[in-house]
Amino acid sequence: MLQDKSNNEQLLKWWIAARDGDVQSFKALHHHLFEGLYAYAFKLLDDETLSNEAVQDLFVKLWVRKEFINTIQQVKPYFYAALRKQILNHFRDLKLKSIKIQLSQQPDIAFSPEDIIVKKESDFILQQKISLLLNQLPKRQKEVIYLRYFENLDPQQIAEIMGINYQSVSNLTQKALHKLRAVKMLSMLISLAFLFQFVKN
Amino acid sequence: MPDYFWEDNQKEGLSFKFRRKPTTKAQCDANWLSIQNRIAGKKQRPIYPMLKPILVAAGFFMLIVLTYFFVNQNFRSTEQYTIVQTGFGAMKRIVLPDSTEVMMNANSTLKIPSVWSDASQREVWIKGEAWFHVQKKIITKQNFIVHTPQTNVEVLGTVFNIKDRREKSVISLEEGSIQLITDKNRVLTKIVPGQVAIVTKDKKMSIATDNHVQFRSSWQFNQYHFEHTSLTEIAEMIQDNYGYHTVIDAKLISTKFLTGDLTAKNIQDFIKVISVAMNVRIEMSGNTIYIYPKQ
Repeated sequence: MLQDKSNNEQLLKWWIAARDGDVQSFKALHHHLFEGLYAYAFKLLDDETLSNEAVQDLFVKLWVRKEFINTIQQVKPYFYAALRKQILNHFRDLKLKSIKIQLSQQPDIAFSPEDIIVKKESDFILQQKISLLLNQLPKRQKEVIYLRYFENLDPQQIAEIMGINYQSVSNLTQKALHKLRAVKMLSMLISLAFLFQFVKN
Repeated sequence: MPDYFWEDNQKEGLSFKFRRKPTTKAQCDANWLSIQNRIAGKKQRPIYPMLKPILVAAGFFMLIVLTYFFVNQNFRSTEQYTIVQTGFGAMKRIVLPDSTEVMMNANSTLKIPSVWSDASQREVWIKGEAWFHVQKKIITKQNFIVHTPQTNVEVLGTVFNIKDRREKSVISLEEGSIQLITDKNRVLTKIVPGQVAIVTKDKKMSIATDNHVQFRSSWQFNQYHFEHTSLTEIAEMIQDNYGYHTVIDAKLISTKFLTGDLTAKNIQDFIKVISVAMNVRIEMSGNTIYIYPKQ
């Protein structure tokens, strides 16, 4: 993960400059993190407008309050954690505003077949099966999987973002992976089925 | 996506990898534009750091003001009280803002809060002797508390006399009911009409029954009732109400007692009646009254 390390150093440089009032550095930070943050927000909110606003709100808030933010060690996890907290607050506010809106306290992540890449590029059935399996995971396991494999964050960073300890992240990951390993069997079975069909013909 | 990612997944036994839904450059730029517009309106440096010392100072000031009010509420200074005093041989009738009637005997001090409201407790402080006719608050049910150095008398609406002389409170109840709260054990003692409670300096309380409890407040009509009252007690009364020192001839102490009613508007009347009724010779010299046996 050497790449990540140098990445963080660059992000840190931008952040320090932004903290001193450099809008261009702040812009660079935004451009670098936008895709990941937007995707994360979208996974949690499942709405384009809301996700765009969430990222905007996050950057505006950090800009306004930058003088009060203590030294950041890891820029990316910091932004993810801040975004997550903001979205959770958003959910809480919604829940407070109207009891009619039945929302769970925790936002839920939904995976779609497009999120999954299998070796055989065109295997839509397998993609569907995997996404289905992923969606059956408990909320927290889903979020861990998302941060681990979509955002390429290490368990320590995930722990920081989700506000849980390292051990919990490992446990959640292991539990999720245990269930997902079944997919390997599944893909083998599907391949076998193909094979049989081929043999028959 | 880098290769190690594939390998990582393979190690963990996954035969697939994830792909993040890509965003377009336009989307990213549009998002940044909104941010830029929003932060342009904000000051580069938020206003708070500059205000910080002022806010701290304001906080301290508020703290001081609040403390002042808090302390005031608990140990109100004399400025917020009206103090009514009576001299020797003088009486004073007071009607409190709640229509409670207070008749102050001579040589007494009554401390009354300057502000009376329906929300606050009704309370007064008495040193000396006073007769109270407390107005009942039917709606607000506000208690009325009379504090003496010895005890606190809590009433709802009633007529009673308090005599706090010589480090002893004597509370005689004529009508209604009152509760005594002595500081020592915080025990409430209920008194019914006709009873007399005596609380000493060390907060010891004794309750007696007096069939003529109304006589204990008849001083306000210049009438004095005595029932086997010793000359020493009468001398004390003279000293408390009229401010004269008394010197009693040794032969008279614990031999002379008085039973009956007498009316006296002033000290001259008083000693005249006493001398006749008790068959003693009384001489006034400056601030001292001498009582001798009659030759």
